[in-house]
Amino acid sequence: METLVICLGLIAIVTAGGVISLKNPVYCAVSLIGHMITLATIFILLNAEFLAMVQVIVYAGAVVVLFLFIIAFLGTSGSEEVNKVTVDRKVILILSVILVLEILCMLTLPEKDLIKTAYMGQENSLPFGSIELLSHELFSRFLIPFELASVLLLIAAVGILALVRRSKKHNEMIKEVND
Amino acid sequence: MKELILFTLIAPISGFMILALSGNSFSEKKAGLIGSISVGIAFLATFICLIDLVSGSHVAKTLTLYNWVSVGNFNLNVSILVDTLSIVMLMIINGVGFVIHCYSVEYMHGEKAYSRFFSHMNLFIFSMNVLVLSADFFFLIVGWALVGLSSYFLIGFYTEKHSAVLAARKAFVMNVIGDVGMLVGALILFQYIGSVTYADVFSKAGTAFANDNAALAWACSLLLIGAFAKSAQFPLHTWLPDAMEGPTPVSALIHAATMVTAGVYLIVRCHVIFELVPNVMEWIVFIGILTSFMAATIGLVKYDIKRVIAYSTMSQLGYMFVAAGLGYYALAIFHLMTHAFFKALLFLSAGSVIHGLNGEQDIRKMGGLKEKMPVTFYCFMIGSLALCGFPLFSGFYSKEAIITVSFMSEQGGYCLWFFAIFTAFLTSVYTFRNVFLTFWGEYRGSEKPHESNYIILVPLIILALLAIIGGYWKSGFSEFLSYTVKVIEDPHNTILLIIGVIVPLAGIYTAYQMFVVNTKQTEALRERFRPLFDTLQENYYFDLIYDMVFVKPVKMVGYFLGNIFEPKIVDRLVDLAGEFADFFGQEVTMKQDGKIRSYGLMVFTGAVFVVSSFFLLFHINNF
Amino acid sequence: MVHLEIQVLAFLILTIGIVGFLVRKNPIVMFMSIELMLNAVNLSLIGFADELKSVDGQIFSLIVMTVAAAEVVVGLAIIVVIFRVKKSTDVDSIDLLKG
Repeated sequence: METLVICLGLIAIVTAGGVISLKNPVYCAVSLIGHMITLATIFILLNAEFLAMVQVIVYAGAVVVLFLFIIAFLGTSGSEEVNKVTVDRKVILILSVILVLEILCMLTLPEKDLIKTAYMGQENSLPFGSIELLSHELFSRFLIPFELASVLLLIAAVGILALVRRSKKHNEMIKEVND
Repeated sequence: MKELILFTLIAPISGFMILALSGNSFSEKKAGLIGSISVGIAFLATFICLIDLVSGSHVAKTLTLYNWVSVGNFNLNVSILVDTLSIVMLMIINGVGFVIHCYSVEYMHGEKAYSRFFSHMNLFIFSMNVLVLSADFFFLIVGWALVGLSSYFLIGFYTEKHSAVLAARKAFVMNVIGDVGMLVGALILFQYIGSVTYADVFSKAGTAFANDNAALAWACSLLLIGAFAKSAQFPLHTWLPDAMEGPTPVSALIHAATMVTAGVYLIVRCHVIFELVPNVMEWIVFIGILTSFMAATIGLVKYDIKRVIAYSTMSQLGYMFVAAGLGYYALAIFHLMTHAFFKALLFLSAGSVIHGLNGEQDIRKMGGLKEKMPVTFYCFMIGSLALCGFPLFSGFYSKEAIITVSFMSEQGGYCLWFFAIFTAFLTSVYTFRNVFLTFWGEYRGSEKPHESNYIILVPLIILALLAIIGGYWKSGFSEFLSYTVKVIEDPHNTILLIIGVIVPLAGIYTAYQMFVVNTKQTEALRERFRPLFDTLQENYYFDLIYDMVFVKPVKMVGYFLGNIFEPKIVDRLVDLAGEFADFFGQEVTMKQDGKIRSYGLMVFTGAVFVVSSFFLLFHINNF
Repeated sequence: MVHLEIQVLAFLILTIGIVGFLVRKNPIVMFMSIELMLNAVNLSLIGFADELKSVDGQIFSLIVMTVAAAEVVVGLAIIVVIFRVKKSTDVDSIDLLKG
């Protein structure tokens, strides 16, 4: 089990690195799909089968496809210039190294220190991680957040329409900005 | 019934509010009516309470209006104390105050700020009632400061007169010195006793200060500074003569009858703690007799009719302090009362003279007014006789007793008695110098004198009656007060009594010889003792010394702070703060480059900082 | 289970996402980096959910996914609009908020 997690983790890190380092955005997107699927596998190991499924469908299926669609729409300006502000890079490097070192230090700690107060899971007959339990919780205790999330999606949809809609006034504004 | 006493607070403050808020829109008649009636109501309420107290149980009663502050063990109630002492004080304040208010209706006629005068007078009556009715040191100090404030307003009533404004400021500063002393004194008491109510302080002072007598001595001395400042005793006395710049009714009410006696009231009220420190009592006697003598000598040479009376006030206050310091509290309060009557009478008569001469105050420009203002003359005469201690007048009963006590009591003696009796002699001399120069001889002024009308004269007659009969209730008075303060039976001594009768007569005779018969000789005498005369005329150069020692250095410090410290350092620091903000803002603006990734980097930096802080904290806690 | 490793993994992915966001100039790749960060958080949440045997973490990550989807959609729409206006997708050329 442990080796499996470590292997999957390594894959996840490598694919994530690919996302941020590959020049061509299309490759980045493909690397992202790989990353998502790896994470979904880890989710299964963590007793979150439903979320693994959602991860694959929503992220790998919908979001990344959306990315690819937009890349296709805008065209791959493959020659992305390398960032010229070198100071920024140094700062970024130092900061990320600090962050990574700190988290690696945590590995040396005994595991019980990480979570000091153990949480007692609710009494429930349903097995942990099952879709039944998830849906039961989602439609009882978390009904309002769930409904709000749907409202959020609706707003996002309406927002996009408002953004992309072309109007005369809009065109005038574009001209103004370009001038 | 005792709840009625609340009207002594409500009525004057309402009068003050109505008059103050009306601005100048009321007619003189209306403003005068409101001002007088409010004090009249207060007087009536006091009178009913007095009858209740006399016919009833004499028992002191604390009326708690509500619990104001309650912190831990500390409780501060808004409460008033009704006992025989406070009722006597209230009778004097509101009785004399009412008469003086009525008098002012005519006296202030034609003043521009007629309503303002009455509103401030009402404020004063309210403040004085707060001071007297307070059941704890807190409201005592509140009242103490408020009377100082209203006194300031009223001394500086003629705002267009420079000297009046200066005098008001001087009085205020002097009084604040006293206020601060008193506040610190009360705080020391609070520190040791944990309460500010009289009842607690007086009952626990003996035990609380058992190990620390020095602290109690400090507390008493600091309270005394307040008393000295308010009652114009040496060395905080210089403001009282200057306070005569105010309108005459103000001088009569505040600077003769009521406010200046607050110091005596304080000592009598707090005699329990003062008695714990015998040294302090000796100081009270010493300062009292010193001020008394000093003021009497200065009174001999002054030419302003009101200032002469002001010095006599200081002198009489000195007597009250002597009586209080020797432990004869009832006597001190008794003299306070008779003094309130005859001194208010003297001031109001002097006011009538001034009114009749259209504002002339210099006695060198008066004379021969005996026939022209007969009623005023008789009233003034009665007041003067009472002040001198002429037999059968009220002053005789109180003052003669104090002089006797100064000889007979344990702490007294020849020296004290000699100064007391000599001051009494001087008192008759300067008082009758005032009388003779004003009413005898030829008229030397230019204004046309006329007798005042009945609104002025009726108050004079009332006060004159009081000044005559005010002394007859002495034994009853002592008994009445004995329910609140410790009362010692006055000693009697026939020889001293005879001397006490003869000395004022001798003083009057001397004054007659000097200022009516042999005026030439008096002139010669004055020329011969010119330096002494000048010293007295300049009030022993106290103002000059204070100016050199306190005012000049303070002004220098002020100049330094204002012209060097402020612009060079304070201002510069403020400028630097601005410049720094400006510089910083400029720098930060440059960082604001509008690029999303710069902002991202800043957020990232912050995040790393937060995570690192947690990390470090976690590790520090673990090791 | 090996939850500490999961948390460290989440943290590393988060850091990679941050670095990607800061280093890249292509807005689409920057959005991908944001997706990486959100995924890292999801991983962390699910790891804790398993550790504590509580389904709350999973539900929370579900909501995070919803938000992420909405955010990506709106963000990409904004990129399209910007492209329409500026004919370029270089984020460094967008600095209207310059002080």
